[in-house]
Order: sequence, then structure tokens, then C-alpha cells
Amino acid sequence: MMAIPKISAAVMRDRMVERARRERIPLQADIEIIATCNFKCVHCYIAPCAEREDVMSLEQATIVFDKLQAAGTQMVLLTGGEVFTHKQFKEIYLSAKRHGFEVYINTNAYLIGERWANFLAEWPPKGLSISLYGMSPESYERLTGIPKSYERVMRAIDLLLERGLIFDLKCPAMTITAEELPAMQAFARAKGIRFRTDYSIIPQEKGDAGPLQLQLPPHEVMALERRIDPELKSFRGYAALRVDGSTTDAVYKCGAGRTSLHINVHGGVSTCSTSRKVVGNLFAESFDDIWATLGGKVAMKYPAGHPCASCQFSRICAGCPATVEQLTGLPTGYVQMYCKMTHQRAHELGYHPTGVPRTVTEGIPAHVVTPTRTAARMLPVLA
Amino acid sequence: MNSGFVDNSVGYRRRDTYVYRLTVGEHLLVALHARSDEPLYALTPTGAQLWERLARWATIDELTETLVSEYEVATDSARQDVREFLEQLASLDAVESRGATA
Repeated sequence: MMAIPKISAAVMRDRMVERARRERIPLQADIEIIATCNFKCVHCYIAPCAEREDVMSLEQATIVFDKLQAAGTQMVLLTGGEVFTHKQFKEIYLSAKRHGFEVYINTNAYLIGERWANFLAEWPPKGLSISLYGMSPESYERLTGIPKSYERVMRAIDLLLERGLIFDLKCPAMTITAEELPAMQAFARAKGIRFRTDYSIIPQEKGDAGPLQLQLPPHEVMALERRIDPELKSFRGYAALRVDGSTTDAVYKCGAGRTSLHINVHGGVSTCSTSRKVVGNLFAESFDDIWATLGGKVAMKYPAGHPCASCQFSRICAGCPATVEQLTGLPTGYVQMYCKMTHQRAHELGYHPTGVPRTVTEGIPAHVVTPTRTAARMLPVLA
Repeated sequence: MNSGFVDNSVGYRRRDTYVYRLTVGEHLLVALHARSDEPLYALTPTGAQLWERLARWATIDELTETLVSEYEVATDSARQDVREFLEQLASLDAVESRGATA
């Protein structure tokens, strides 16, 4: 009978992902259990405008878990804000595990000392993702605004490593981190930890576009990518699977709204953590109704004449519908900065002769929505 | 566990070290604690049925009856399957036993 078949967790997960894609099952959910944070990061789009009451209680989290469990969710990411500042974090985390989810955690790790490290070792998450903000006390504190943040996070990393926990490190690439990013990557590599970075900065949730001033312009993104990965191996492999000369008018090409979703502290559901446009509320509406609405959103197509609809690089674009939505107000907007980044990358990889997008030489069609005036004022002028 | 001998004075019950879920067509045992080698395991539908039965104490004969009443399977064959399943669960620290062991 082989009641427990000998197949690896990875094979089983692939099988589940394939079926979830086919049948549009919300396999993965990001749940924001607290919006406030113990850091004051200059680039953050959530915590600076969060209030003390922006917290999901254990009872509310249980409602969310029950609904996700019934809908077929298998992986949940608990995120914030800073989750370890949540007074009921332990209970929420254990409830998620007891619902049978594979649980992931986003954290800045500042509060992870011996006790939390021992707890996580006893009740291991499927994965931890730790934000790293520099390689010296000075740079760390300049970004986080918190004394001793560098020392505390470095200690947490060692405590977690000593206990064999699986985690990765990540840092947003921006004007104030760019210089140290290669050193962060080297640090992670020396410790055997995966490191990743992201080049898109978005405005604060309630509209302040200040963080956009930290956005690296396209030519600096390219230079930084070359420093981190001189042969562009990782991007080359990514692009090889996605650039074949074809185009698509589908706006959403990721799993958002198809196999994944995001839930904020008040139960508001959006496509992903980057998108702050909620389409329904899990505390007030049925999951099925909200999931159907989300499905409608991610099925949208670009209007005729939109530059992205005829772009063969749209599947490797530096922007995505969520970041574009944050800058323009619409997922179907157009952000030329992302377009320039993407074409420069395509040029570096030999896919494009000049690296200059058509919209630079031919202009942006008048009916296409571009960044709001506030966002445009903050974005790099040399983009 | 002595797989060549049926001792019906021994009862078995699942431990709370795993959570069972049927999701996306897969019968999953998801590990709660650090002691597991894998974060999750797949069960066959019959394994899932036995797991459900193991919410309460059950002997090998009672577990065998669960299979025989549901499937067209010979009692001896079902009993062998039950033994193997219990051995697998024991190796995962997913089942406890009580009573005399032969």
C-alpha cells in the first residue's frame, strides 16, 4: 500500500503548484499581522504611516487562517511591520502551524535573541527572510534610525545559524544601500545564506512619495547588477526562460491573484504585498467573493496601443503591475524608468540592439497613464 | 513494533507532532516540530483514512477493519498494510502506543 509514499517535499510542492495554477487555487498567502515596526527605515512604505491600532488580533488571524485553509492555501507568510513586536506573535504563529500551513516569516531580526531563536528551533518555520540594511553600525543606523540595530541583527543571524534554521537575507537596492550591497552579498555567501535584492522602491501606503527619492536610476541599477553578478548569470537564466520574441497583452503575468494573495492587518485583500489597493475584506465578505473579484482584476488586458502590450520584454520587466499601480494609480499605467531598466538589461544580454525603448524615440501614447505628478517629481531625474 | 505478530492488547494513537491536511488534491502530513526530517509528507488516501481513525486509540485489528470495510481487500493483506503504515508513522514519531508490546 505504501501509505506514506516516498516522494520528496519538493516534488509534491511542484505537483501542488501545477494544479493550483491550473485550477486557480490560492496556494500562498502573505498576511500582514502588524503594520507598525521597531525600525524607522527611510524607504518603508508601510510602517511610517501605521497607527498603533494597525494590528491583526489572534482572533482575527484565526478567521483568516480558517478561510485560507478552506480555500486550499498551503503556504502563509507572516509579515509586517515587524512581526516579533506583535504581542500575540507566538500564538498567531503556532495557530498558523496548527492549521497545517507551511509558515514563512519576514523580520528585521532585531528582537531575535536566545529565547526567540530557541522557540524557532523547536517550532521551525518553513523559511525566514531577514532584512539586512548595511555592513556597519553607522550605515545600519542611518537607514533604520535605531541604535545597536547592526549588532543586534548580526547576533540574531549567528543564533539562527547555530540552530540550523533556514533563512535568507534581503536588502532593497537604493541610493543609500548601493555602495554596500556587494559586501552584504559577500557576507551572506560566506555564511552560506541566500541573498537577494530588489530594485523597485514604492511610495508610502498613504501617499507620501518621499521613499522614491531613494530609487536608483536605470544606469546605476545596471552598474550595480554588474558589481553583484559580473556575468549577469542569474538574470541571464531568468530571461532565457521568458524572452522568446512573443508578446502578450496580459497585465498580470505572475501568480498574484491566481495562486497567491495578500491580506493586510484589517483583512483587506490585494494581489500582493506591493499592491495596497484592496478589492475586498476577509472579515466582512466571503473568501470566494473576494477571490472572484481578485481574479477579475488579474485577468485585465492592456488597452490597444499600450507600449507594454507589444513589448517582447514584458515578462522580464523591472516593474510589475503592482509597482506601476503604486506609481501611476493603475496596473495598466506606464513607468518609463522601469522600461529603461528593462531595455538596458535586454541590451546587456544581447536581446536588444540599443537598450533604448521605443517610447523614448517615439513618445508615450497620450491615452496611457504615467506616474502621478507627486511620484514623477521624486523619481530620479536622470532616468 | 513486531510486524510478525498481532497483539491486540496494544493500542495506537496519532501524536500531535503532525497536522493532516487534504489540500490541492494532496493528503499531507505537515510537521509541527523540529524533530522531523522533512517539513511535510504525502499520504495515500488509505493512509489518510487510517490517520483519521488514529485520532482515537485503535488496535491493529480495528485499523485493519477500517480498510476491509471500505475496500475490497483481503484481511491478511490489509493487516500487513496497517503494520507497515504504523511502522512508517513510528519512524516519524507520529504515533504513540499503549498496552503490552510483544
